[in-house]
Amino acid sequence: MNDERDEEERLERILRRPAHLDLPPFEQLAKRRSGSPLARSLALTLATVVVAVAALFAGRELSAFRQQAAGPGETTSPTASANASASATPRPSLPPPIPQPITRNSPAAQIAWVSVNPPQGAPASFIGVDPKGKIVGRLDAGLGHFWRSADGSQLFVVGDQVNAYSASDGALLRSYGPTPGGAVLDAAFSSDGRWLALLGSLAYVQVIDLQSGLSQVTPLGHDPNASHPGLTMSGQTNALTWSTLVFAPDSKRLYTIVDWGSPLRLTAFNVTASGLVQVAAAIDGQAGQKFPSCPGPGIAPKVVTGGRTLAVFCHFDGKVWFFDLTTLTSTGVVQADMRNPFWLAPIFTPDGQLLYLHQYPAFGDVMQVIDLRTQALLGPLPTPQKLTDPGPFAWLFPVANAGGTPSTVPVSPDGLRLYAAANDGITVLRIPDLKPLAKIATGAQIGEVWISGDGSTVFATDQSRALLVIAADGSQTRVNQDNLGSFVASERG
Amino acid sequence: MKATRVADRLPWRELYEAHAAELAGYLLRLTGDREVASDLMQETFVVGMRDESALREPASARAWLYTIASRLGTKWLRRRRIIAFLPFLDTDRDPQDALDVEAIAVREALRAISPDQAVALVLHYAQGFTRGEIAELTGRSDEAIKSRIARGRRAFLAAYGRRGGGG
Repeated sequence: MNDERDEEERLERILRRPAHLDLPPFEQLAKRRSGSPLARSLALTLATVVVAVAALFAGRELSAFRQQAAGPGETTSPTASANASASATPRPSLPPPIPQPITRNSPAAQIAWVSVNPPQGAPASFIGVDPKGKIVGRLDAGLGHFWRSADGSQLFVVGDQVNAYSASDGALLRSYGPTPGGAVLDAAFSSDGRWLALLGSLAYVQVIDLQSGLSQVTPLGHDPNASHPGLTMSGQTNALTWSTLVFAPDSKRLYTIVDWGSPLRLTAFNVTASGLVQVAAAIDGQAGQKFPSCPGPGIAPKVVTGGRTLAVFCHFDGKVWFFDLTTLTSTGVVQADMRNPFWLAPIFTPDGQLLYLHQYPAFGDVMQVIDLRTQALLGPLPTPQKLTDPGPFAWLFPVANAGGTPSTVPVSPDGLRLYAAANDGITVLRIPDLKPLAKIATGAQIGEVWISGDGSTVFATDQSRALLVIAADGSQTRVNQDNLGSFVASERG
Repeated sequence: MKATRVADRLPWRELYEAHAAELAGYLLRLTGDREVASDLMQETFVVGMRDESALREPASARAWLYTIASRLGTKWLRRRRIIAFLPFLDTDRDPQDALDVEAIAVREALRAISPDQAVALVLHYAQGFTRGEIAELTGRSDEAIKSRIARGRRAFLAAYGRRGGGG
């Protein structure tokens, strides 16, 4: 009897999962009543047969592709191997996207800023283009490194000084004073817009309070005898060649990652009104820590899963590292399929749940996706192009062998769509399954794509010769401009 | 004329507002597919409106709607089993729940047992109907339902375990 009662209780637990649906209005029933059930049944049967036949062919093609993509001799991570061995069990799942609020609504946040790189030593610049296709501003690219503020309304140019320019027209708004010297390797804005953090080659983190203008510089621990493979750093033997930094979503924590040429070091800081306070650090090879390392300078970090996990993509080998931020320990490495360095563009969804990896169309237009909660990898698969294609990640098993330029697949501000540059325009793909929703700019050879702050305008470079400005109604304006480069985006790739 | 008068007594909009969500939840649990559940829920009301003369006592409209929904759900599950034999065909592309390992395990376990058993289990354990009420809904004897639930429970838990369910 007890066994039966246990079974009954268990079944209640399992089957009483919440089950809510959005209900159509009552009036919709009237339309259904007028439809012929027989006709619907026949149509359904016919559609089923057609889909089944099509699926047979598609499945055969897919099988061939996957065998080819897996390739011999490539390494697999423990996670990827586990995924492979689990292929007989129920397929993994992808989380539905969490819609993000649209916050970049200011007129300045709708202006695209794109680099222009003339040949033969002529000065490079950035031009600002509004949603009507009008050039509204121009800035000398030689001023320093360009970053766009979290709200999209300002451009921060970091050279010897830190200066803020209006994204509306390029006018100088404010100067925040000098940097400590050396090169600025990377910058990050807190999501609340208050802080700008800069990481310098002379091993420091500078945090600027963008409200008060106050600045604080904190030394950053590193290996004094670091070697930098393939590089000579005259006069800067103690310098960092590559490091990066990232804020937690709540803007209260900052993490720095010092890598390449020295043991990887992960440091956590509290961000306080008076500056940074280091709270923890972990170093590869010390205190039992074993961290991965990127074989070249080029990593893209993001704090995900509600601030608990740091995910880092290495542009050189296609590995994705995971760190538990409560303990600063390595929790896994997933190997994405990448044949050459920089062939993949990493795109973290704004809800921090997924990492899409897009292989640029010129190298073969394929997609992979990593579920950042479970570290499961799906793909690689050809990026779907036809609107009738299904979303490939809705029904596939992971493959054993898993694994740029981020602006080849920007994500919409609401976090629900990817805009994938293709060899024939831009394919708009639904997150998470990549079902094609629309094709825009058909016929154009797309280089890079940027979405305006409110998501209503798409800007894309066409063969580096023109900027396409595509409005929400599909109308398109062409701005002829040679030597176009890349956009300055608020989002980190 | 009599049928029309009965129909006139049934406030369909109110019935829809009172029971649509509950029936949709039931059908979602039964089929594991949002689009299908929404479709079948609407079909339940359409069939009800069409056959409203069959309802003798308007006060039992809820149970009667469950009867219709169960019949439609059973038919769909049977058809789904046939379709599932076609290779590479997967109609579960709902991004909202196709993405939840636990939901998949429940859905596939329900599809692994007989549709009649699945209906009985969901009605009893999820929707809270007694064995006697299910017998009335489905037109079977109490004993038959008791047996159906007992066998279905064992079959479901076995299938659920094989699919990695953790509940």
